[in-house]
Amino acid sequence: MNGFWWLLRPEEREVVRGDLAESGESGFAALAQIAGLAARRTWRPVCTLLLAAGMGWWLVRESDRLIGAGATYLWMYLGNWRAADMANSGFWREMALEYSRLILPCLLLMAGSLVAGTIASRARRGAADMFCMVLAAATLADVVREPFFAYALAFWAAVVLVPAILSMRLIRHHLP
Amino acid sequence: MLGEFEYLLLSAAAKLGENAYGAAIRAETEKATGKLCSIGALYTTLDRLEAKGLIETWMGEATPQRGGRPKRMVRITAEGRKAAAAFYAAVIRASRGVAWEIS
Repeated sequence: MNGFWWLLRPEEREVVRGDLAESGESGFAALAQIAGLAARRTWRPVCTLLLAAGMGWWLVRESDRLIGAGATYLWMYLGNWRAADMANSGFWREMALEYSRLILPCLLLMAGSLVAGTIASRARRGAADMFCMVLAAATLADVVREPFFAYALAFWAAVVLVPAILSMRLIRHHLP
Repeated sequence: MLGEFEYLLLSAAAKLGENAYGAAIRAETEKATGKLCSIGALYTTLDRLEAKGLIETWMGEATPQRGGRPKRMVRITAEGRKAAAAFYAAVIRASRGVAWEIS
């Protein structure tokens, strides 16, 4: 049974030992109680953190891809810009078509950010803060490499950061 | 709004008064519900109630029947009493006009 004690917080070990002594539980029953508490204390936050980290990784990769695609079109249109194109309806139609292809992935990314924020908000405060820092650091590391830095930063803030933080705040506020 | 188990623990702590601590609350809850209450469910729920500001906990004195080990004492805060009263009132309101048959 001693092998399980390290899973509990030091101050909690003595309290739980005392509770088990008082209730007369020993052997397998005591082991099940300790393992149950350790599971609730440790594995649930770890699973939540892993899930939030997985979502965070996907958000970083997907936002990087979409920022790259959007920036490529932007670079292409700005680099080949001519005043005559402004009066050309075909130019506008083609640009709208190219960017509309990015709308669905952007909506999916926003939905992913909302879900990731919701998951992170259910983790312990430290885990949720770590998730935010990892997400911010990893995404910013990608964003600063982009040629259109301001565009990339605005895109990342609107599609990833704001939905994730909004959902975290809403869930924390309404589901204490 | 409280959860059902949170309410059960608050009720047990209220009944025990000055003697409310982990093992006593667990025993009281098991007596009231007729179901087993695990130490894991007890302490993680007490943590949650404390995080919500509905209870306060501290380390109490050690007793011989606990092998000289300390207790985690529990006291309900004013917020906790308010939340429990609101839960109880909601259950009473929801139960009006309903006749459950206890077999």
